[in-house]
Amino acid sequence: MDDIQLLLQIATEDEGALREFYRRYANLVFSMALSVLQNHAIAEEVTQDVFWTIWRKAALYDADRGGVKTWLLTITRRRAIDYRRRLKPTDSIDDPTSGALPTSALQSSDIDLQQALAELPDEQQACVELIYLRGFKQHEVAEQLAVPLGTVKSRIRLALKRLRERLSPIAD
Amino acid sequence: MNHATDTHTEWEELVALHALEGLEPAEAQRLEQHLATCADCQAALADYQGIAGRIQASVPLVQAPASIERRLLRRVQQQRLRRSLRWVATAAALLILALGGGYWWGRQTAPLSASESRAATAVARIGAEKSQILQLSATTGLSASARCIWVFGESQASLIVAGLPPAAAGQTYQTWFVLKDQTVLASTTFQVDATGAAVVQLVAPAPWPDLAQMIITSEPQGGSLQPSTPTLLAGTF
Repeated sequence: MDDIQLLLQIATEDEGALREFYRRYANLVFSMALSVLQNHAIAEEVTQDVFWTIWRKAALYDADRGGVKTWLLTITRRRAIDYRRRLKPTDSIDDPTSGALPTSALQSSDIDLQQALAELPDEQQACVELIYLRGFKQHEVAEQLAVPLGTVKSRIRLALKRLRERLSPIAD
Repeated sequence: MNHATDTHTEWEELVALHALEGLEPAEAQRLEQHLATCADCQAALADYQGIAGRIQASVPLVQAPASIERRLLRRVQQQRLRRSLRWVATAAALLILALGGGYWWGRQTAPLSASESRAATAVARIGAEKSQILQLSATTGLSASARCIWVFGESQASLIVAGLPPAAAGQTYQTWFVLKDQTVLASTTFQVDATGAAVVQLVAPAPWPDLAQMIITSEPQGGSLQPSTPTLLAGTF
């Protein structure tokens, strides 16, 4: 059964279909949440929350707007960013088990992408990661990196321009 | 991109940030207006969004803890249970409202708003995230039953009764709580309607963990201090 058929089954409240969908994507969803949050406990909460959303709203999936994996990852990333933004400034996002965390969310398993990312200057990689995968706002990135806002915008522009030159678009 | 040189870089920046979902709402709105008329920026945005999708899809994989699946499935099962109970309670509440309304139209005396309020409270308790339910069963040949619903941490509860015959003249039904040390504490009295149904609001006389049993008996009008007749319905916590 493919992903779309599974989602259709989940929309009819088929618990077995939910289990199968979970087994296919739990690691991916958890990994994305962990990349954004850098905290195992909150990433677990986000993962459960994402699959709970799938259980209740599987019927909302629209195949015309992208693949199931992309849809799921986008839901996860946005949900994790929402969680991160709700944390009080005094809440530590650092995870005591961070030894198990990837050192960078930009350590890609996509070889072409990995090579293209590796060719970017570190400061451009950092801006892409902080804005896209960690959900920080432009001014927050500027503060964190102690650079003007214009520099952040410029680094993002240069990073994507260079990646575009190096990579050809790949469908989901 | 076909822009004047002084705005070219700015649009490129906005397009790149938009692909990474990093624009403020006002900036995004301004860019959307521009995109409607600029094919170059539309093409760049599509490419950038493709790249963003690849970045998103290639996060390093980490094993998800097994406990997440257990919690998820428990939540699904709780939802199903709550939904089925809510259906039963709603049906009961609607029945009571309908009968209460009929009584009101017939005699112009029944306090419809009170029964409506009790029914709504019962339904709300069932829908609450941490609701607990105690089933009371008939101890004699009666085909009656009841459910007591409360929310964890609250002292108030709703009792939904079905199938009890109207109390005899001069009699009323009374609820009782039995503590774990066997102390019996009197609670609310109530009457059922013509169909044998009632929705009753209760206050627990002790914390829920200290309670052992809930029972219902028939007592003289006004209630008793101790049960004076055999138990009709009983449920064990």
